[in-house]
Amino acid sequence: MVGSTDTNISATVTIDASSSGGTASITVTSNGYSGSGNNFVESGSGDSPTSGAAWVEVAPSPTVAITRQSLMQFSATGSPQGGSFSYVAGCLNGSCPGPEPLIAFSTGVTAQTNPNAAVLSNPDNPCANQVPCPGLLSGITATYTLPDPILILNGSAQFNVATFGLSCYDTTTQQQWGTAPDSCFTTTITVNGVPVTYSGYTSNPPLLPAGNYCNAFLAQFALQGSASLTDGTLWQYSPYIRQVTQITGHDGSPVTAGQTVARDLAVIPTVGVLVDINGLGNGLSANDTGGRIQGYRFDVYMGVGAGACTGTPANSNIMAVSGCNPGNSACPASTTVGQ
Amino acid sequence: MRATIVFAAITGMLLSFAGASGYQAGQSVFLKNSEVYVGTPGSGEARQLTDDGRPKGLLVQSKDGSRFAFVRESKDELADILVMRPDGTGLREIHFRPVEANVSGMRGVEDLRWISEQRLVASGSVNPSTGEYAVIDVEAGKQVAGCFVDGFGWEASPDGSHMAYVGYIPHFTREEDRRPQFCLDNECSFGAPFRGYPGGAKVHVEFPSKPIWSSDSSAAAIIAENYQTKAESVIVRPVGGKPLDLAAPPEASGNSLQVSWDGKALVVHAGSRTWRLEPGATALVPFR
Repeated sequence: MVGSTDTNISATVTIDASSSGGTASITVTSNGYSGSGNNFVESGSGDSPTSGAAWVEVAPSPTVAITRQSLMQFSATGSPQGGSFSYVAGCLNGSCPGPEPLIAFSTGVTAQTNPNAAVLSNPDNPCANQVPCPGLLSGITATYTLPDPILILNGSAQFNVATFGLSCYDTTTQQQWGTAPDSCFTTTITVNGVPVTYSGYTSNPPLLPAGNYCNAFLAQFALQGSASLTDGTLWQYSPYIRQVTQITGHDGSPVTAGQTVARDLAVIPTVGVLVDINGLGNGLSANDTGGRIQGYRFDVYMGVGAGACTGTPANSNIMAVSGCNPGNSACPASTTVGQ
Repeated sequence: MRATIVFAAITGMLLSFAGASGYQAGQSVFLKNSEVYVGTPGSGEARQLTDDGRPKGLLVQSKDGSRFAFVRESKDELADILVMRPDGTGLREIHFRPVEANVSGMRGVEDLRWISEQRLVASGSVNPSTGEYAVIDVEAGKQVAGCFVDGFGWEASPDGSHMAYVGYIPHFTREEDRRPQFCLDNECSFGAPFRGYPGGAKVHVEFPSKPIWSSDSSAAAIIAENYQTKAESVIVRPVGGKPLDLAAPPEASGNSLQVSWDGKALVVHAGSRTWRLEPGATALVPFR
């Protein structure tokens, strides 16, 4: 067998040059048998033709190229023809383990279809009780394998995809907590380990317009950080209670229902990034942040009122394949390939 | 001799007991297919400790390894928090926080940590900036302390009796407008802004690191940076005592400060230089 200790192997390189170009081939001889070509392997067992060994020319190594048509659709093209495709997702950059995006051939496409269209889909939330749960950065590897009888010949290409765990936040409203002084609702918040029920009302609290306010509303305003009063005015903690014409995010631009996400500045550090979130929408502004949004998490602002979050995918804390535009190494763009 | 396996149904869980030895060499407690096992992962010799089929997560071992805790999915509470020994004994089941429309706080239990041999903290987000930390006493079977933190860096003291954190960095707020505070216990919790250190809304410092507790739980320290001048200092907050704000020594110029504790003494590093703050002292002293 030819190997690192084989001393009988010899090779001749022949170059045929002409004015129109040239070719080169290699002839390998070992223990009386030989083969020639550009890419060949030893087959059979033994050290000579009498033992069944031979040099067999094989096809050149296959190559694969990926085109990403959209956030969730991509295609791979393999060369030469005749191979088959497979795909796998693996986590990257210390975000492991995590919920990898799902990969499937597009409708009507098989592993042998070339070019090969495939689609991504959101993974399930892996956290118990489906709580807000971090996602991860994945490398999607496309492998193209030729059916060579002797060697496993394959080529691969990769692109990266970010998956974010979603949650939802909103602006509380004065009216959702009843009407002071006679019809205030209650809310219970555990303060220093003790459940405290906020009921009744307060007259003329500091920093707010004079009047009666349900204590449940005041507690929710303190807890959530922004509020809408019955007169339509907007208020937020920034850094103390003040009236605003628009509620703004960390970056200073307004937050808009269903169009704003809070992100981790370590993942999306720059201002002005728009994010595409599968299952939610495209072009959302990543302009807010907060200490509880760490890693691959998006908190989606859904607007004013108790029902703003109800029934939304964000409130179900789904995991969503997402893209950043412009992208960065932690959050690739929606159509980024080639990494 | 192989221990006898006994099955017992306890509050809906089927537990297997295999003697009282707990862990053996190389063994650990792990989750597989929503159930808890003890053994060597992948060896095929693991003992199944639960088989109720309900999703579980956040499996964490106590500091001395004698117990572990995890959350179990619940329809009526934010989560069931269960504690047991590796041999399946000592089960404590804590139904944490009823899910009702008028109960506010964390959206779910997103993290579970042991902070002492008897105490766990369950935490979760309320909104982008605010997290709730609920301290749960395992023997009492209920929440005994807690706070809301609209900041970061929540750390319990080693004895589990105090909390330190950076508060008052609300979302909806630009960096230049915020006034972070270094807080102990409930100083900066729900409805109590600006009560930490430096206090008030005039001084703006940022905190580039998390608080660090002394090993005896008597004080916590943190590095602060003046937002305008970028000058660094070390803030020490003794429990029940007056805060110390220690400006970076001139010799530290050009190097970021780092802090650690050596027993009750605070150790400050900058580059190759070291200073110490001995117990009861009010100034840093160069150390070799």
